[in-house]
Amino acid sequence: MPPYLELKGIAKSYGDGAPTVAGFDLAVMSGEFITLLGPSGCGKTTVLRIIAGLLAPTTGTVLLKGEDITARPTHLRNMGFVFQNYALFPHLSIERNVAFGLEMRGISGAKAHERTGRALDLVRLSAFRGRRPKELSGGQQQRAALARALVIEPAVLLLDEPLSNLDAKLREELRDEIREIQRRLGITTIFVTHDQSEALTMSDRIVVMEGGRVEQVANPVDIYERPATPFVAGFIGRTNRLQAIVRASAAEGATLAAGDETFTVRGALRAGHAVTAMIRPHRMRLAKTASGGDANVLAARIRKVTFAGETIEYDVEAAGTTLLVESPTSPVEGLRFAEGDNVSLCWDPADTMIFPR
Amino acid sequence: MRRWTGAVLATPATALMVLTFLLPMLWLARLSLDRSEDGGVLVPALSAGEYGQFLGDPFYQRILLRTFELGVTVTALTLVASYAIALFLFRTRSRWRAVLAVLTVSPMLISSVVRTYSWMTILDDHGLVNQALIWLGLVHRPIALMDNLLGVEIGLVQIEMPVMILALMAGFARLDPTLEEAARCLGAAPWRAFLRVTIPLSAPGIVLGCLVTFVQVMSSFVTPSLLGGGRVYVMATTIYQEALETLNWPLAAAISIILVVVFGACLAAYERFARRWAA
Repeated sequence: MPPYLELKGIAKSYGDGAPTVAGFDLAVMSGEFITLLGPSGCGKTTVLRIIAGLLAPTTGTVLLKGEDITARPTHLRNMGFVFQNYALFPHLSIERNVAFGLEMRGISGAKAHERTGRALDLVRLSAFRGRRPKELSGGQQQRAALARALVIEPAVLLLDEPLSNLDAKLREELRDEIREIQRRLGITTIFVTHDQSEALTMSDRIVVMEGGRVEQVANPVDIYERPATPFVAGFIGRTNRLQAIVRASAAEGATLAAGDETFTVRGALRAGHAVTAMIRPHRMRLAKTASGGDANVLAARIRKVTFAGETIEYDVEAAGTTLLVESPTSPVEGLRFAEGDNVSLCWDPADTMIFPR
Repeated sequence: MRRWTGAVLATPATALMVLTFLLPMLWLARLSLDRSEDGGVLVPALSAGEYGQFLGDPFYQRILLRTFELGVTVTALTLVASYAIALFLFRTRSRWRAVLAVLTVSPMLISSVVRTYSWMTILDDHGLVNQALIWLGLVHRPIALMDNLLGVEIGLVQIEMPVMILALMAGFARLDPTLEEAARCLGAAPWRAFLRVTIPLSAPGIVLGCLVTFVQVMSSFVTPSLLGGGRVYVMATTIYQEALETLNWPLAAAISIILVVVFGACLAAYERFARRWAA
């Protein structure tokens, strides 16, 4: 199946400074929910604006259903754009806001009324149709903006950090609502965010960006479990880093040295190479004494204990560096370890992510 | 103590307003009810005769109408000429923005008498514009650009532009460029986005600018006298004539009061607009 929306070799630079986006390629399938994820200034919003035609790329092409739309003006692209600050027209009622796109298409009267009504039902705002935008809460305003973008049956739904102006609880509610509506309508969606949990929970595929370039494109599980670069591993979730040297390697695994300690990883590596090993804090455990099995065990000393309710965070010293261990809490055990305790730090070799240094 | 502070601080300004504005206005209102005899003899009375004379005489009616037309025309032309400049100044992120803003308002630093005289050197039969037109072969004889209503309009538009630009920029607060982008994404061509979003959202600035300009044009004296060449009669020039040439002070006072009433009506209308936006 050919891609529905395709970006080829997109680059955008201003003046003679460093490019905001460079060599950006992406193929989006029909009905897919794609998230552009990255820190602020990584160029994700620039890409979204290029798709909408609000910005022209310096080089590269935008294809929609195989058709080159790079030079097509915004108002002829039929893109549903939802802005971070809602961007509802303050001088129009919610109903007139939603009907605006239909009006621009020459749709009026009963048909416009019916479609506007359906869109407002979809976001549960029918009771507020006569209100002005500023009479609505932030969450309601963003739902109205979503209805306004959906009512035109857009080719692609473009969401630019739509949740970041909302408080935490509302953010989760609206997150689920957007995903639900997107699935139900089967609408191809590009979502821009700097929030990894939004990206992981909502997306079919995530595009991780950094410094105007794509770091990795993959589904949420692969992004989390098999990050392609140290940046992705560090940006999504928390990670411990161990600088290590490959001592020996065989087909089934390799032995690495970090400080005075050694540990093993799955898969073959080239002996003598310097690598960075990354392990997620919640994939490591602490024990009083070394238990058997094929787990890696390092001698460690507790430096700090932080109780966070759902987890206990231990800062431990091991292999000449400081590592973070996240343990689940239980009413029976309480704080299992105290500052200064000597413990064994264990993890499964399969939980080690290796990157060349 | 606290609640007296405001009153105490406001006293000097209030006293000044009462002394220099309110009392003379009351005196003027009283004067407009007196009668005048030939030769400027003032006869104390309580009659609305001067108002009747002004409003009943077709000559004066035409002056009131012409002043009103001049106000409307100049305000409309000033708005059209200023809007793009104001929008540009409001939106630009150029490091020259401050310089451009100062340049835009700088004509206000020069007396309107001086500005009007400079317009005379431009609009004169041998002025810059006519010479250029003749040199280009577009006309054979100079066209009359001053000593008529056209000259007054040209001069007033330029004189009022800085005020209009300042008022427009003050009213552009709600103008978020994202809103125009939203309109364009929803299928509005740039001109439609401008008409449906930019213009309505800048209405506070437009109305404020038009109010200030209209009132200033209605009461303008220097430009109509100089660029009108003594042939363009408006309210202010008529007041001047009645007071200092005909020596009919009551009539001059009556015309002044009529002008003040027109301004009051404009302010009341603006008040209603302003309240609607605040709601």
